[in-house]
Amino acid sequence: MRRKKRREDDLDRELRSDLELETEEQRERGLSHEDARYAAQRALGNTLLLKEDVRESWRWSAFERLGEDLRFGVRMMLRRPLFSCSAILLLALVIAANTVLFSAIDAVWFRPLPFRDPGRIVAVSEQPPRNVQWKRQMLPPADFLTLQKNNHSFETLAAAAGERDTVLVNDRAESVSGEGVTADYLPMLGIAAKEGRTFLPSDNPEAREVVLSSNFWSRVFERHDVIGQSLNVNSKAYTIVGVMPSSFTFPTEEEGAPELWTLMTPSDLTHSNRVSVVGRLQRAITPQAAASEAEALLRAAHDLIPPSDRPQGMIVRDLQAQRAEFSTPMLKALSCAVGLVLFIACMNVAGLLLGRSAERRHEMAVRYSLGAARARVVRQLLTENILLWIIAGLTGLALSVLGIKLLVPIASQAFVELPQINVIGINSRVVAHTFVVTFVTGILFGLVPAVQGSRVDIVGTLKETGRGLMSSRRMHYWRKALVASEVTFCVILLIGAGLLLKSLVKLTTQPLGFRAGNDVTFRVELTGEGYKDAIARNNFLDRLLKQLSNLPGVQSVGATTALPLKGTVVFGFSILGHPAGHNAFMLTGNDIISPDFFRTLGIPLLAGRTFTERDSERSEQVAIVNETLVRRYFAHDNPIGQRIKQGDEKSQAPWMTVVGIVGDVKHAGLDWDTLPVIFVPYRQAIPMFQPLTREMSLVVRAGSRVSLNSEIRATVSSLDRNVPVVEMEPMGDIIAAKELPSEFSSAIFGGFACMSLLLAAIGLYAIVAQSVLQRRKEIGVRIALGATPGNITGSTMREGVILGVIGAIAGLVGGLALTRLISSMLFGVTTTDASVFIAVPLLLVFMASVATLLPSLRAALTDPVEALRFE
Amino acid sequence: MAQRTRDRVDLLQGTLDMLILRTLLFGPAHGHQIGKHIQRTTDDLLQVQHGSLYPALHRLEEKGLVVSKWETAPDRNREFKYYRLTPSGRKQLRTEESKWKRLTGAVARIMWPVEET
Repeated sequence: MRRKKRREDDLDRELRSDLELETEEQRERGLSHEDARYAAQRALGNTLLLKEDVRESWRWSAFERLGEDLRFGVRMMLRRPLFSCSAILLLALVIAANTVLFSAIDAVWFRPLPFRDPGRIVAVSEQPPRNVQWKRQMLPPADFLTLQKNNHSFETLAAAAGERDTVLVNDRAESVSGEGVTADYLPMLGIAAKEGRTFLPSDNPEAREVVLSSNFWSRVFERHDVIGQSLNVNSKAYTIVGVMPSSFTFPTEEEGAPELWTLMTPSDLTHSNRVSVVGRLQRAITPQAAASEAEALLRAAHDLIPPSDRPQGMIVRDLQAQRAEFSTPMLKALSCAVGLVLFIACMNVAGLLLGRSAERRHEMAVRYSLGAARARVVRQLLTENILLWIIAGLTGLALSVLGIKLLVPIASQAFVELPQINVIGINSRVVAHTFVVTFVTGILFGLVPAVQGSRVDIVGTLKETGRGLMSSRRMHYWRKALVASEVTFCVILLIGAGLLLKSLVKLTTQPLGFRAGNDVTFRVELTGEGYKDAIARNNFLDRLLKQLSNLPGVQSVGATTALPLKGTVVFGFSILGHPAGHNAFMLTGNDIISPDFFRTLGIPLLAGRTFTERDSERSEQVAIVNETLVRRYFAHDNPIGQRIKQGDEKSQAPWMTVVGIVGDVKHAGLDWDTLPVIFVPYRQAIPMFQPLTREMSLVVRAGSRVSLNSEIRATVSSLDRNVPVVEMEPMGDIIAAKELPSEFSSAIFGGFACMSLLLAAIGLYAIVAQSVLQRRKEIGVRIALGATPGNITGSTMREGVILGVIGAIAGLVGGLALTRLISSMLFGVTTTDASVFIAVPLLLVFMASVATLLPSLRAALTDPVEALRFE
Repeated sequence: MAQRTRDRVDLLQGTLDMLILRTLLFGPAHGHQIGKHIQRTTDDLLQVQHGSLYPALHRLEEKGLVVSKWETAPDRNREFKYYRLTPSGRKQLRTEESKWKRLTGAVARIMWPVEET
């Protein structure tokens, strides 16, 4: 700083001495003292500009100038604190929204999964047949074994099956989420155990060994040394061989993070329904090559299945893509929405800055008349604008930290399928993204006001003492373009929000097929030693149902293996006497239930009878089917009395007589199609499905709202204190949890749409208000000549409404193009839903009228005398 | 700004630097002298604007081609800021000079081609 001061003084002295010499010379020519001084001054020229040019040649001056511009920028900001704060806050909010979203995208797409060489870890699944939807991507165990034995694409191919395990902790039964894995599964991931070891590929699968999660270890064993100790899992003693580090995540976590891993025995494997398959590709093998090899290997097995129920092919893809699959459409749609809101906010601020540059015209004119170059003025204005953006960016980054803290707990409930949600956070990639967004939008939207603001008619502006109208037409054109684009983007957002809202209404008002009243659901886990036998489990259920229904206040009790909305087990079935070729592997859901299940949930019986106590192991095998099954497979016959069986015609399963038809129930997601379902009494479950009764869900319908939870727990405990009761929750909560994702996404979109509507309204209001101010004289003349208030209001409103209409039309076109993005999030609504596409533009035009009405009314109230005196 | 009459010639960009260096070859001089010298030597054809002269001087100093010092003028009792050439300034002048010669030679060949004999 001191050096700079010295240089400035030096320059002043140099120029002064030049001036003196020149004056002397002029005087020698005979001019008067006064004239000589003027002549010398003229010879020297514009000293301000000269000094500026000299400074330019000094090193560092570029940085010093930037510093000066910034200091000046801060001063200008402080002079209009309200304007600056609101602009910064607006930008900060949208930048924060952008940052929060990107941190989620970063966690899902960009952060490598915490495995050794994660690029080669792939998930292997089959493409579901055309007529079914399923979320857990798994393979039949037979297919897995075929692939494991014959493939040449994988270094390792491993399988896992999630299960609830009953663990005895301090003599108390506790149900935890566990995974049975093949011995090479954990070694394949390449993550070393924190304590002890993971399984070894050479481990005997029959060995009763268990590896604990870090979470379970700290919760139950308080991080004591446990290696080599014994743990009672499902009434069997297991040896604890290792504890995984806390950073370890299991590839398939749809059902929540597993707490322990056990080895899958060959018989466990063959008896499981489906297994999730993960493999490590050989080097230089692409996922596509592995998929076609797998397809070839399984073709023979799949040929046994009729075409309509056959998998559409094999899918091999890297784990990251697999895990991101369900969240990707949502993230894409959200990115679009957040991007649109960002642009709207930036355009709004750019519009405000343009408006401000009209106020600063005088300042610019003075700058030019003092010799400033155009480029210099643009640079100054641009620096000011970008400064605004940078402050907003930093504020936004700080806000996003708060936002993540606030939103992650909500989002983790709304999107169970969002992987890695617990690692969402701000890292260097996120910060870099925010800075790029800030700079690019800052330069993009700061440049137009800067260039337009520097366009000043110097003489006109200085003469008119401030409000020059000469070059404002061009600026007005820019502001109009900005406002019209805001309206366009706003319409796109409104259409998206409208479609999602309509889906939400459809989703939540659709019939679920059952009544959710004062009922509570819970699950008992019959996995202990005493319940190996299905008969033992059935006996326990008999007693439990009886005791529960005897509780005071209980109206009825039902038991099922598949609670509504919680999914069911899908398997093939056949109908006796149906033409060959169409009898194997028609897929149905299989629910094993208690006789009172339908009555408890209020599921209507449409024909025939429900199950009774008399449908036992010794009586005739009976089944009840749902409406969809009848519609799909018994289009022309009466199904009552027909005989069906699970598996193909030659399977071991017995033929069952259909005795009743019940109404459809939403068996899984609210937006899923209803499956055909076969209901079987639990007494008659065939051996293949008997393992399902290890986890029975119960529904207790109470007469009043009084909570029965403790009585229910006491009843279960009185029958067997080693049977854990898990996931006790009202049926209403299950429904609410299913509605949450739609509510969440429509709330987010709705919020963004409202914000954009408000911003567009502000933009329209400001533009009309300013044009009214500029045309005040003209309006005064018109009123003086006899124009009615209606004439005036109409003419000023027209400008704003026309902009609104242009924007709305462009928005409709954009909406048609962009709503595809949210098609997977819609339910019962097409992406071109007419009512939404009509309502949104109407809303927009209404908003435009309201926003422009106020300044237009003010125009009509203009006092002509005052207006003509003005300026 | 100072007016320009028609018969005065604007300097080619970069030429001013060379002229300043050439002027300083005679010995140290202050800004006013340099300007006047160029003007006088060209019979007022080249008028050096102060607005170009001083930035040019400071630029040359920043590049290390000239150095400056406040010194008392020999004939009066007053200090002026004298500029003098540095060795690298001399070298730069030689390069500029040969470049200029080649340039004017090239331009001359186009403007007044040697007639074929």
